[in-house]
Amino acid sequence: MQFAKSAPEAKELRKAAGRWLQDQRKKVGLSQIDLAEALGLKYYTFVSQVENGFGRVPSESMEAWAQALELDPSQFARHLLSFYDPELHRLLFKEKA
Amino acid sequence: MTIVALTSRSQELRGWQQAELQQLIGVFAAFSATGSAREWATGTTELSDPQFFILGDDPEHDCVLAIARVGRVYVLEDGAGAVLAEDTRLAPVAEKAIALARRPSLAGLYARIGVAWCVMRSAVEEKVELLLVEPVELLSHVAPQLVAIV
Repeated sequence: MQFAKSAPEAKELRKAAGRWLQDQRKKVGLSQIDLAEALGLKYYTFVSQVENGFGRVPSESMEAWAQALELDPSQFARHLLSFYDPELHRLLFKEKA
Repeated sequence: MTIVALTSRSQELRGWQQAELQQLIGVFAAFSATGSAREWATGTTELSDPQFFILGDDPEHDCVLAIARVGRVYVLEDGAGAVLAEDTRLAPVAEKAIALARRPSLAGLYARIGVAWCVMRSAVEEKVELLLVEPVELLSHVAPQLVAIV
């Protein structure tokens, strides 16, 4: 059984996470600057970094991102985990189902 | 909290200029030389501010460092969004990034501490051995004479 993510897979998943985050942001009518402001960031470039699929939402700020995007923090974290660590997501949430 | 304002964009440069890109690739080269970066990529923000990403090794290719031009300010951020440097000139920001690339890693630091510890221990053991050997030698000289007297 292969557990390790391949490089292209990890990249693709992160890009998919970025697209999902961008969709969520647009749904609540926020610009990247608005979201950065809500997150207390000095520059909005990190929001773009994450949405472009080059960065991840740090665990310690997932709750703040969820609140800014008007999402349930638990669901938000769970959904992001499915992109960032699909194997862990499967073990935690899918095996029991 | 105030986000840095983006002023008049009409006079601003859009996208990376050739000279800027060369400097940025120089930053990537510094990271690549230490083995902490695998590739670089460019992107833009929603407002078309250019971004340059230095990406780490397999399998994740996470962003190690990002440099963006926001209006007229160059911003250096790490992969978690912490601002590490900002300046209206690219050179100081690039220098800061290169300094970060050359900073010894934690693993390297531990290795150096380990080597220093071994060298120190070996030196101490040698000194202690000499101190122990000298009285033994002295005793071996004196002992026969003592026996003769007795």
